[in-house]
Amino acid sequence: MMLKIKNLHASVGDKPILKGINLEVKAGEMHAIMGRNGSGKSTLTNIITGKEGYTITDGSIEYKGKSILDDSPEDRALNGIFQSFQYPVVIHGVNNTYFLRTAYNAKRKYLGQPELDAASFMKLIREKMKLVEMDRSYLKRSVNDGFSGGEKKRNEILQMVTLEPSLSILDETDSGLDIDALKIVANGVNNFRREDRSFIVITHYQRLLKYIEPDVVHVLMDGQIVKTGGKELALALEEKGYGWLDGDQL
Amino acid sequence: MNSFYGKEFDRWVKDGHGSSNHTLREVGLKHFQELGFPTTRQEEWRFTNVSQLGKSHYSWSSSTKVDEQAIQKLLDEHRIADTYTICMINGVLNKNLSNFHESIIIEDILSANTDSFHENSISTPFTDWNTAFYNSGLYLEIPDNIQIEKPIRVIWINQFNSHTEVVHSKSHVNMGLNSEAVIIDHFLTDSNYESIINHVSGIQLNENSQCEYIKIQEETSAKHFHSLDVIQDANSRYISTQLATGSPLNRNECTIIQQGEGCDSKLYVLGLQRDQHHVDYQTIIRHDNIHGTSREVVKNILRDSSRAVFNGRVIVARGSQKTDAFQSNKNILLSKNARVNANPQLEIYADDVACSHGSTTGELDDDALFYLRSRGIGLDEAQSLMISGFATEVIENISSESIRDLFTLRLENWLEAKA
Ligand SMILES: Nc1ncnc2c1ncn2[C@@H]1O[C@H](COP(=O)(O)OP(=O)(O)OP(=O)(O)O)[C@@H](O)[C@H]1O
Ligand SMILES: [Mg+2]
Repeated sequence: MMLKIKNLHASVGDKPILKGINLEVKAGEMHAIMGRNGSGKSTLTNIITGKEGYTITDGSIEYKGKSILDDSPEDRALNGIFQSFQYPVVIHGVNNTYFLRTAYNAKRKYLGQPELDAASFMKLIREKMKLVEMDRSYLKRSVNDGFSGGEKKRNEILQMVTLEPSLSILDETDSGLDIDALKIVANGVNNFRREDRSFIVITHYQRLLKYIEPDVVHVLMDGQIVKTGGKELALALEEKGYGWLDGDQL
Repeated sequence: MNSFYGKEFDRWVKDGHGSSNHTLREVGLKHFQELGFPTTRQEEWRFTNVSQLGKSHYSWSSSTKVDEQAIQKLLDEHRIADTYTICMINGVLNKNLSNFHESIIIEDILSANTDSFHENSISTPFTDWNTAFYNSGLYLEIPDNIQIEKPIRVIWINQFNSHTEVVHSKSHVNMGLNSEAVIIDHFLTDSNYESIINHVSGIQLNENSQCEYIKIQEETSAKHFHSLDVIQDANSRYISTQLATGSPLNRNECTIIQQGEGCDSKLYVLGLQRDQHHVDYQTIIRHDNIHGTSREVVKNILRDSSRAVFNGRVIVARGSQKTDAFQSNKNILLSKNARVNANPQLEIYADDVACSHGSTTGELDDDALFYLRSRGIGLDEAQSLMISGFATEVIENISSESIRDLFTLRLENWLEAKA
């Protein structure tokens, strides 16, 4: 089992946000999570990847059979958990290539492999950039600095294919992408799929799921997964809206 | 205090010093004695307390007591490739330790008439004190139409033999018409005394000249006071990058006056503070003519109980149309005990101008830190990466690679010395 979340309750301050999440993702699976604004999708992502500021009041998260709740964000990342951010952060003055190489070498070091020098890394990253059809000029800029919304998302996927995580959580990676970019990103993800790699794709649009076919679709509402189904669930949602499920719950 | 410095002056004159500009010196002494050291009741000194200085008697540190071996060692330790060197020991030029291009004019400041240069600037007790006692100094001229490619590094080495000595050093740079040069003031000491460096300097940029001025302050235990006046004639370009790596007290007063039209002034500052260090930048950029541009970026990174003060004024005079001025002050606090007092000010008396300014002080951005950590970069390295990124906006403006490398190295040393 790649990821096993049991009865997860979490709050920010006194405000409960996740109210009993149960989720199991097997190796090689592609899961999609849909749900209204503010239902807790990014919160769930942040908690899995180890962001501070949340209190876990109940439940557990296991990754590859072990609890990760006490692990630092960097340890989780080194162990193969990756988040593509809904809002990638701009880091002024930190060169994108240098950042990517630092991250890449942190992983190599963790795996007991020798670090890559600047020239070898350059060769590697150019290959990776082809996968997401990114222009080389982004390498010279600061991390996400002045990147358009779509360029930031491509930069996230570039990081994913470079760091090669086992579990990738893509938080609204499709938002803000034009049709061509959406296809490129979807292609990047599809080519990256492997039987030992799992994905959780968070999206508001069925459109993405046409390109990236999910095995399982979940609907998150007010901090709980209220419905789970196959890819037809996404289609039904698009047609009927979330109101349909509100009714279901009553 | 009155009697001590009066007697000190008499003794000093009797020793054969201060024969030039005697009247000016007496005026300086009189002012200094009347005003005494500033108190925190004075607005410009509100956050920088120097009242302690009045309790000691600082005597003039003579250049005859220097330890040449120690100086050589210091020079060896601080070599920078591809630069000319001008070596000033306790404010006095040492020709043997200097080497520079023949087209650069170097003289003792006493033989060059530079007194009128500071006439328009506001004197302070420290500049008055300097006027009374400065005994030598550097006059450096780049003649008309001459471009010097290699950076010219002026190394100010001050050696002290007690806690209560003061060096009054002075320099004047004259950039001829259409001339270009990179000039570095590098302040070093090998003494651990808490003495005083009281430096006064001026840079005159004649028409269409360009001066890249770099200042590196690395005295770790001495108190450093520096008053710098820059006067720019038409179409001249002044680009300054300054590094302060921390001392118990580092006060910089810098006034840039755009006298001619179409001037460009840039001032970038990086302060790395730790322990109880205190850095204070008082800057004035005066747009006295039309079509001037200025950009000021003052950044401090503070640890422990250190403190940074920034008081920056950009003044656009009446009629200085088409001025474009930008001022920014940013501070990162790495400790709860570090403090910043920032006061950025725009004073605009013309209507057709574009001016903006701002000041921010805070910890490292949590979201950015998490972003880096979520990529497997450890907390310490993530912090270092962000701090280096913050400093880049200053360092990247330096044209010379070897100087840029020195700034980067100092930053790395500072980051490593964290523990
Ligand atoms: N740090 C915080 N402080 C206060 N409230 C928070 C915080 N983080 C999240 N919340 C709240 O938790 C709820 C869930 O937020 P979250 O960002 O997880 O939603 P989401 O499902 O990702 O929404 P969207 O589709 O708009 O991205 C929201 O009501 C949000 O306001
Ligand atoms: Mg979200």
